Amino acid sequence: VPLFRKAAKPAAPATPAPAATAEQTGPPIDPLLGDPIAHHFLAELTQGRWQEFHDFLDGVRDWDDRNGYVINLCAGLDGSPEWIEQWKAARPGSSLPYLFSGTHLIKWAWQARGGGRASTVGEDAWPVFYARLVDADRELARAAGLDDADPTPYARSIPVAMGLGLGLDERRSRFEQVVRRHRWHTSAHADMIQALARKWGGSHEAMFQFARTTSAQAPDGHSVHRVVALAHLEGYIDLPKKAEDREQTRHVYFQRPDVRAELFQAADRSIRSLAYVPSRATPKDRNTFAVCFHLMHEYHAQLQQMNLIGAQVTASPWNQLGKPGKIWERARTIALAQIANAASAPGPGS
Amino acid sequence: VIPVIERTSVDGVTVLRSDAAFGRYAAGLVFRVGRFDEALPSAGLTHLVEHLTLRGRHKAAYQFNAQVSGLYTSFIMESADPGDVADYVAVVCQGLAADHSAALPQEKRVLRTEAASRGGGGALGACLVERYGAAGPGLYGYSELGLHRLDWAEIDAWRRRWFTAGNAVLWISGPVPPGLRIALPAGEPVRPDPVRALGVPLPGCLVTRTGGVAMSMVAPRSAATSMAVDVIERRCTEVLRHERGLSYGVTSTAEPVDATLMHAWLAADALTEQLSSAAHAMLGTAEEIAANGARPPEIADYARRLRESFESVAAGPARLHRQAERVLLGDAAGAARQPADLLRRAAEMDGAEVGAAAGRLLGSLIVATPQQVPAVLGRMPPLPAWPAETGTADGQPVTSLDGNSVLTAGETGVTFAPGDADHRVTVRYDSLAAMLCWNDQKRTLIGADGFALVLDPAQWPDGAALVASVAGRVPERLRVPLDSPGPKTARPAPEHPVSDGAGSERPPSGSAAHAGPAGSGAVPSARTPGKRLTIVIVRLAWLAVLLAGVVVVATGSALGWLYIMAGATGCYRWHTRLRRWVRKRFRYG
Repeated sequence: VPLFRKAAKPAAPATPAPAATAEQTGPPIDPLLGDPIAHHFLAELTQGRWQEFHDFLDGVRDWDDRNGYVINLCAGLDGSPEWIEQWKAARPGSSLPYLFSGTHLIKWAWQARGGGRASTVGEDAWPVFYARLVDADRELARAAGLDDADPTPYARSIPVAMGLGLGLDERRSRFEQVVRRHRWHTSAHADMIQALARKWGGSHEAMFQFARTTSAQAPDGHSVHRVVALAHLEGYIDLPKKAEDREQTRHVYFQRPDVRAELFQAADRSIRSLAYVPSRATPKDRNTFAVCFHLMHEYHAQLQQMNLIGAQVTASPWNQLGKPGKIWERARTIALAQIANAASAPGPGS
Repeated sequence: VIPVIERTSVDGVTVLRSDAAFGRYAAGLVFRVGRFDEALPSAGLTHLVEHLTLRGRHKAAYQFNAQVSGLYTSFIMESADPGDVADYVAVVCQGLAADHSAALPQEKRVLRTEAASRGGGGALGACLVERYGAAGPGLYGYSELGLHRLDWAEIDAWRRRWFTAGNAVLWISGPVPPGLRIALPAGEPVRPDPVRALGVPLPGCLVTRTGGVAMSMVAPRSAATSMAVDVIERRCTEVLRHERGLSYGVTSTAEPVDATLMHAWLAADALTEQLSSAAHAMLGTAEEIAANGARPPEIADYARRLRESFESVAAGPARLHRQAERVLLGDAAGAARQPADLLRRAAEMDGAEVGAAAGRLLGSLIVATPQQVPAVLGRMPPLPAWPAETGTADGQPVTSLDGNSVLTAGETGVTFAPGDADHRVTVRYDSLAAMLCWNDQKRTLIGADGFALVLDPAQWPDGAALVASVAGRVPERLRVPLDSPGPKTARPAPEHPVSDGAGSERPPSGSAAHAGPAGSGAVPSARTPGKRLTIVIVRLAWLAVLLAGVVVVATGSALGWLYIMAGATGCYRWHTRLRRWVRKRFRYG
């Protein structure tokens, strides 16, 4: 049952009704995913104390982790922190303050723009958005120049290229710089799905080709297979809710056999693979596939992932469907109800 | 070996000379007058003098040519016989003294044909109009209007004023031929007036009809500025073409706009889909040079190329020509400088000095692109689409026949105000650059700031008298008669008349670059009174249907719902407009 239809309300009898407040708000979403280290550094940075974080980040040589820490901590900081300039001055020659500054400017730019489609952005917001992205690009270029081994500045510069309308060749060029330094950079691969999407000047063909090629080449058990799920979610969202031909609407997209087969295969090669090693990307992986399983009406698989997710609910991609916590709760309720209904229904032999 | 430049004088004319290489001799008679010295109604006057001077001399035993730039007019020749120099100088001087009045109409036609095939000022002209309006270097943005009105008396007066011995320099690559005479009237050197910029906030960006990305910059003339332009061009070429494949090439030109300032122009072609990337890379590269200076290899490369240019076979005449221009600008220090001094200065240049010069250039930047580019808008705002001056001419306001615009024509000038915008364009008679008089009674008033108004008698009550009263206040010298109909205007509108690049016979009539008022929706829509009445009737009809539905439902009939639905559908357009207005007013207001 699709998530967003009124008809999707579960049948009452077999399922205990969730508390009204929980259904309204859903579980709390922690952008730092309950990571105590990240919470500690966010508290430090909020007070303008960057020194300990610098040393910590300098020691993080897992590029996916470095990328995750920088993005998540920047997301938690409001405004334009003045202490970043102190950080640059106190650590000349280090790429980290520039990386952090550039990443923060991206977030700040998107704050000015808002997350909606271009048609929803105010005219006054565009120059601010572009100016912050240009500044971000300068900072990231500086960071890249100071640490040639680190793919993170290039990875962060992919969304900048999208925002500035730089061509697909430029976006691919930045991505190539990432994979030259770290072949299976999860975040960069995920960003490329958006960078190649139709709404950003790309095409579904290019996006799906990228996702399929990536998954075909990636090792078993890797997070990067998530790009297949992300591509299908993008394809789903791009479809109209209503059309004369119902086959061309969102309602049937995740019921298509080819889509389902690809998603099962991607899940089997990542989160459901025996070779899968949990990492900082795991909550995103599981949340992404949980959304897909829900839209596929694969409620057992959805609940399995939800149970593994536990408190680590991520805003994305639930936020593609509405308020993430609320959507999560509703999806869970529907899944439980459907499973209960199926269990109580008379079987073929009864 | 780089020949030394010697300085002497013949018949009161300064002569610069150096030894020629390989038995080819060249000479150039250069005058300190060019397009920047003209006024808009006389634009093309110097070009006309240049053509008339060499009229009838299309065949000779040696090669010769002539050209007019912003500040100079040059007559140049090359020959294997050093004696030809004296012949050519004599020909030019005779041409400058002769009466060409009989040939004037024919030569005007030739020049108008040349202008048509050359095209308009393009993005360069548009940028210069933004900086300087309809005067000085801004004239590059206009067609040669003088070709439509100049008479022989005005041309002859221009010759006597500018083409004098005191305002000329002769350079010779080779020996000074025996018997050389330079028969020019006596006169004083005329230094260029300092350019007066309009003071638009810079840096800023501009949309023009020309493809690719172009950068217009102004900075004090210096060795560091020249090197900065060169380094920006070379590094942009490296990045855009060789590293990223975003452009076929980057080109640069530089030209003095007065005795102290230089205008630099960098342009890169790019595919439409690569435009944003090309602009981002180009600007980023220039910013990088401004921030971190030139690299030692770049400075060394510049110095090497400079040396090679001095040592090449063609270098002598070019070097002499530049030196002649410096003399005419009154740049005594520059004119006294020998090539060895320039080489030493280039080799000793500090990277930071080049960076500082690049920074000064970027501080005055105008970026021209064929469409709005996010990577440019993130660095600078669009240039103002309306004039900074908000004053209104005195006089009685007149409302246009469509009721959407107001024109105020008074003693001091004319103001146009679109009904639904807070902007206005005022052209004052005391700062009027020209008035174009079309053969269909339309008149275009072009202000010194480049903003213009098209007055169409058909669009105003008692329009013929109104336009005639405005035209009557314009001095004869500012009137340009044009034997073609005026621009087609669906509505009264201000214009910014930079050249349209089409090379049309008609003088330019507004550009995409500064069509902001028209393009941004600030100008009232083209509704006629008849159309407006129709819209009101239709709206009332739909409202009546809606209200009828409410009444019928109230009486208990379900049929009323049909009326309500029909009425609501008809009113939908109102709803959409209201929603837009609310969003604009309360969200972004």
